Amino acid sequence: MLFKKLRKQIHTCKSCFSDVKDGSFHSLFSDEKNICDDCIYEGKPIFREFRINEISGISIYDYNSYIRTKMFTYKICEDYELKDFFLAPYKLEIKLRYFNYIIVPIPSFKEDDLERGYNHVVEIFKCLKLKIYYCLIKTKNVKQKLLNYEERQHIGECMEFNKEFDIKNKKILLVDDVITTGASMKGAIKILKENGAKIIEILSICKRELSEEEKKALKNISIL
Amino acid sequence: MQKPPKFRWLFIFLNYFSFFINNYRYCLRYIGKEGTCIDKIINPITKVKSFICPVCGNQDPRYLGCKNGQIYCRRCISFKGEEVDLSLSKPPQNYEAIISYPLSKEQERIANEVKESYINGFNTLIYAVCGAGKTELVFKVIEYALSKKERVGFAIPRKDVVIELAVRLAKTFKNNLVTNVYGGNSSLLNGDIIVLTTHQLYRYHEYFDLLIMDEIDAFPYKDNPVLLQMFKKSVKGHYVLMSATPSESVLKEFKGKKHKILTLFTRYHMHPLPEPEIVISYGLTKYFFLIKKIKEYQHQSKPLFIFVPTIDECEYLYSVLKRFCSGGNRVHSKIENRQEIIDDFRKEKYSFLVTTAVLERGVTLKNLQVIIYHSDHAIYNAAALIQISGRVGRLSDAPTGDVYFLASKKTKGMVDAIQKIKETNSHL
Repeated sequence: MLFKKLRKQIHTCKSCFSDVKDGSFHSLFSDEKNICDDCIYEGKPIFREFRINEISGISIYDYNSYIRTKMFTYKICEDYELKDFFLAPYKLEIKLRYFNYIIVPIPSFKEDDLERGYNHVVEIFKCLKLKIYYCLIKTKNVKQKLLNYEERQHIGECMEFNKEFDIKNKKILLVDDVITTGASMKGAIKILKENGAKIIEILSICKRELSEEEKKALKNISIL
Repeated sequence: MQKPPKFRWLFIFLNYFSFFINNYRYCLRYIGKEGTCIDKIINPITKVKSFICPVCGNQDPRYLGCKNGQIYCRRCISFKGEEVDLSLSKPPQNYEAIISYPLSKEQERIANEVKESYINGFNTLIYAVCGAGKTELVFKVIEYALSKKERVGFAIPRKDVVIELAVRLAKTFKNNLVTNVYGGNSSLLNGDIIVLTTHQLYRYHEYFDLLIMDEIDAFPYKDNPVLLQMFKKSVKGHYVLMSATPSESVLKEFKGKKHKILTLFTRYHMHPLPEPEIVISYGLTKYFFLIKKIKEYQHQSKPLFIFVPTIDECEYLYSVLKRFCSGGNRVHSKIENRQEIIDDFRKEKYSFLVTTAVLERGVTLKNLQVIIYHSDHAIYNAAALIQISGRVGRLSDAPTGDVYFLASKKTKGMVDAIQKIKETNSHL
């Protein structure tokens, strides 16, 4: 077993393209070898707890500039190989914590996914190897970027429940990439509770803490 | 980079322990070398193992990724966006250059030669000293190219210089449309003369008949294979490069056919470049030297730049100096209102500035003096030191000035820089 591990080949870091040094701290606990330690610490992972409508959740990173650029290259430049950068180093801890849960991703519009070729949220969480239920469907193509603070609160009305899935008395893990105001989370929680979910928890890659000025700026945006 | 202090002791211990295992692994590296990720990447269409990126010419398998069964290049993935629409670009109508002051004899000769070599289909490199008036040399070529209804571009690595130069070009070519394109300002892409940063070149694929490139040895463009490839792809006709300190690879390239080097070793006011002076001192005596010089120049009311290698050192040195000398400030890339500070400095609100390499290029001030602190740092090679000492004495009113290299030892870069400056001065 030990010798098998030692004979492994050189890996290159998916995020900074340099060789991954052997025998680092993270490589002892996880089998994810394609991300180097420098990149892991550069993002400053802080497992921060928060609550939305009395449901507890965890966000892995703060919304700092490093994570923001990585998110941008992953989501908008469509760099698919970065999918393991965000979650895979902490796979073991998260898997133990949410054992026997079912993943429900926040939906994105279907045609956007077809254009991109994959769903960016689901691809990140696939490495946990939990069951994934696509039981939420987005009916309208609404871009949250263009909405102001009050209009975002009604985003839950654009979501529907897919009746093919049965989630009665089941543990559910709601996942998303970035939480800003938490409006879509609130809408999703409401729908899931109506359909009889037993326990709901939230896991997100990063949570954005809005300052007073940013909140004001958000309120002033009108639909373009 | 910050590591969480909780695990620090554990981290150090584990790294230390794994040193022994590592040695064993490095021996095995050579066994497993051929079976790395190269084998996994096979082009599904041609069934060939290699893959060449059409945008940046990348072949290295470490930059390749796989998405839905298709290989894509990850090195140039951030260069993605709206490209120029060829149907919208109209040929220029007027072509008159109004140069505000006359060129010297040497400048006129070279300007004509540049124009001639462009007509004959040569690529040219203008190798001229700092403050020789390089930008004025190419106005004649631009005028000629516009008269032939060809597309002209002007690429520079730095954003600040782009904004400054676009204003200058708009003054000389009053009847033409001069557009500037840089990160954050890319709504208008068409124009008669396009001034752009090198990062925006991907928008113009095989577009320019004449592409002029200034300061090819500046930071983001230098030694960057992606930008070099994009530069070559965007040129349809011929290009003109300008530099004060060209690297050896560029000089080698220009020895081939259809290439030409033009040299200009005198400044336009025919005064020699100021020669730097090496001051060697240790520890606290460096601060004494700096304070002495600042007081001296404040008395003579001359502005002073103190160049520092890193941002941390910039903050530290300024925090020390402000206790002894009032009326200074610091500038580095993380200060957002640095343009305001520089404008205030021009109005003589501050007497000295502690700065990193951001002010290395494109700053012209009267009576400027320069001290390079910690000039034995690894980032200062001969080219950078020549470039910085070229800030001094650029105007004909005040052609002289002082340049000091403040260091604790002599390095090869410092000696080479002084030798090259002496060499160019001997041509006078």
